[in-house]
Amino acid sequence: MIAAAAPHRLSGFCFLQSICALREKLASVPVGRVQKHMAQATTTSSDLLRDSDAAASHEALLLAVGQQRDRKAFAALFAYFGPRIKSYLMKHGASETAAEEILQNTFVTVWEKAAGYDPKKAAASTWLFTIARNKRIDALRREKYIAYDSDAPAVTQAAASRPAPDEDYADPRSVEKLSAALKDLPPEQSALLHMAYFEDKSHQAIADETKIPLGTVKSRLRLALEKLRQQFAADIREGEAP
Amino acid sequence: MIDFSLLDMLLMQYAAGGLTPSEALMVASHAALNPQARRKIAAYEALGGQMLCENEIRDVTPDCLDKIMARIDNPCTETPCREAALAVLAEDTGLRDEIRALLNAHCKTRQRSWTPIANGIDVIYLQVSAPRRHRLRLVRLAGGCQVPPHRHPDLEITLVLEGGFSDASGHYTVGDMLVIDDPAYVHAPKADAGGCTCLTLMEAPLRFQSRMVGILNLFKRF
Repeated sequence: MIAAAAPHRLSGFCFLQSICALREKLASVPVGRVQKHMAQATTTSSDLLRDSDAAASHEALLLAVGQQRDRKAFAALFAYFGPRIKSYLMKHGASETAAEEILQNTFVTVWEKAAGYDPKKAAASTWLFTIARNKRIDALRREKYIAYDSDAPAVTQAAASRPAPDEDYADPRSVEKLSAALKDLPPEQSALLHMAYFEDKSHQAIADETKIPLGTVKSRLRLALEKLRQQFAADIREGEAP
Repeated sequence: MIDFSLLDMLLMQYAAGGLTPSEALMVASHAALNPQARRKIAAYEALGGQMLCENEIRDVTPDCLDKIMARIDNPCTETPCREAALAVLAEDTGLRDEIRALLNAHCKTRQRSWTPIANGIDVIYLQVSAPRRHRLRLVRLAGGCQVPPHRHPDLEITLVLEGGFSDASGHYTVGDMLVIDDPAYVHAPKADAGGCTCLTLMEAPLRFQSRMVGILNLFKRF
């Protein structure tokens, strides 16, 4: 099987394009309707709205840390993300002691780099996830995360055809949509996605552990990604209805 | 025949932090050139952030925040040792700066520049920290040059750095990445008239089809 990223072929397949489209959709209707629409999209509307507020405040907290060196904001971020990142690290095989050490490294870096945080580029949860991920790879795999320079201009002609600037995914509402789509995945697919993100497992390792044939692991993960995309498409269509 | 989602899976795993260094280097190089790849990676990172928010929690020890605060107040004064570049690919390799920087930072090589291995085909062999069995190389095809038909027993990833090439599956230009994960798939990529430079990763040596070029299999240099 072959996968290709020729720009002319990927239109309509890009997960992020769905997010962009969704965001444009959300931006085009009044706020009240957005919230109502979002509430309809999931079964736990009150949770969603509360989470949505919380998500917005994570960006504000991170900005306060970066701009004002606000320690209370820092402590509040730690209170929310600390226990979650610790759990993330332990799922990746860190001992309790190691997890706390990596957690410390993560938050020292959060403090050091917060001034460079740009809410137009990423949600706070995204930004924190990438730092925790990189610290995990440093510590547990004794490797460096191989990053590209996202500030450098990309060179391909696809740059000209991009639908919107890179901020698309930063909107917390788009992230909420991800969350809702994630919850709708069949358990066997979300379990595999979880293993890919939270257990640092190769497809082969997942196959070995779950006794599911490698081909099935791959196809289920593919199905999960496809499902997430379809969910986005469905949400957009739903938003178009009167 | 074309399975686009293989590439998406690779981008997702890159965002999740689950790739081997050799695979991650391919994806980072792809993203350095291709804005579409960047946007997808960003979306998959957002997915990771969201999964983190929904993750179960593990209580941290009460003094954990105090320890962090203490480190913030007394920043480590020792200067972190700067990581020396591993490779020294020369400027006259014709590679773009961002690609050369990535490769020099993460690969070893004994070569500073191109070595011809066949008529119209130059290569630079690179070595990534892990896994050892992975074969990473730069391949430069002269204009119109065609690689004899071959198949890949294991995953092969090809990223176009300059120019372009075609095979039965289509035409690929700068920033395009092709992922082949089908041992039965035979292809014979042909460079555009202007030539083509690629970065390729093979998780196992490729196998040539024809008996005439079968001798090349012995060398395993491709």
